[in-house]
Amino acid sequence: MSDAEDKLAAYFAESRAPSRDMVFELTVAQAIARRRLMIDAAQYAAGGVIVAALAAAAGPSLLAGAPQLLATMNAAGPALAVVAALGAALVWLGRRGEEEA
Amino acid sequence: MHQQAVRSFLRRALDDADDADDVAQETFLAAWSRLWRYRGEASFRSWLCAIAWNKAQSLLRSRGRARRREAAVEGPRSDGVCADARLDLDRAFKSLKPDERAAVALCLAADFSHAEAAEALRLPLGTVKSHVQRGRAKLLHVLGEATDE
Repeated sequence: MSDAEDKLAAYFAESRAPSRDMVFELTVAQAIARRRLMIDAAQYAAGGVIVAALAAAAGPSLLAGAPQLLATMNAAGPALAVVAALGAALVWLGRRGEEEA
Repeated sequence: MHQQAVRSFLRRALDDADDADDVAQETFLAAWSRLWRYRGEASFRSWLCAIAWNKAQSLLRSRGRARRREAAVEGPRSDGVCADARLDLDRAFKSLKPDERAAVALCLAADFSHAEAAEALRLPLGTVKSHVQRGRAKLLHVLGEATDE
């Protein structure tokens, strides 16, 4: 390699970045974490807005139908209680059978 | 891992270590958010340098009408190049066309192969080879004159 080529190589070596630079790497990691946080926050905010909009749109009709729903539930209450009792009895009997076996 | 290549390239292409680090940081941030676009057709560092070169070109354009700072590349100064020769080299390097400068910076400052530089700069391989050859010849010519003095 000639003297001029040596000097040219030295000239380019002067501006070469170090192979490891913790400060730079941390700065980049921090910037990425900040960007990720902003994206997450934007997604949560968008989700919140959608839920609020749905609630605002569907809320009145749900509230209007609530008394009818309550009346139906009241009527079905005794039947539901019987079904629940039967279910509990079946579970208890099943466990007892397993213990005896 | 690839910061050395990207920053070495940008330091020469932009001729300013602070701007180079800012653009490098933006490059890694952009790469992170566009990672899904990387298809493995080019090497990863070529892909990174392609993003970096796009950003560097924007900065160079915005600098266009502004003043050009005098040689502001920071970092250790080797004893291999005397101050006069360095000034001449800086001047000669700045006189290269942007594409030539980028090709020379990638191949001589960041140790890219011609093929990788062609991928990063999205130029034909032959064009990159001639850019590097011509740029290197200009720099060596200037250095020859400077050392002859």
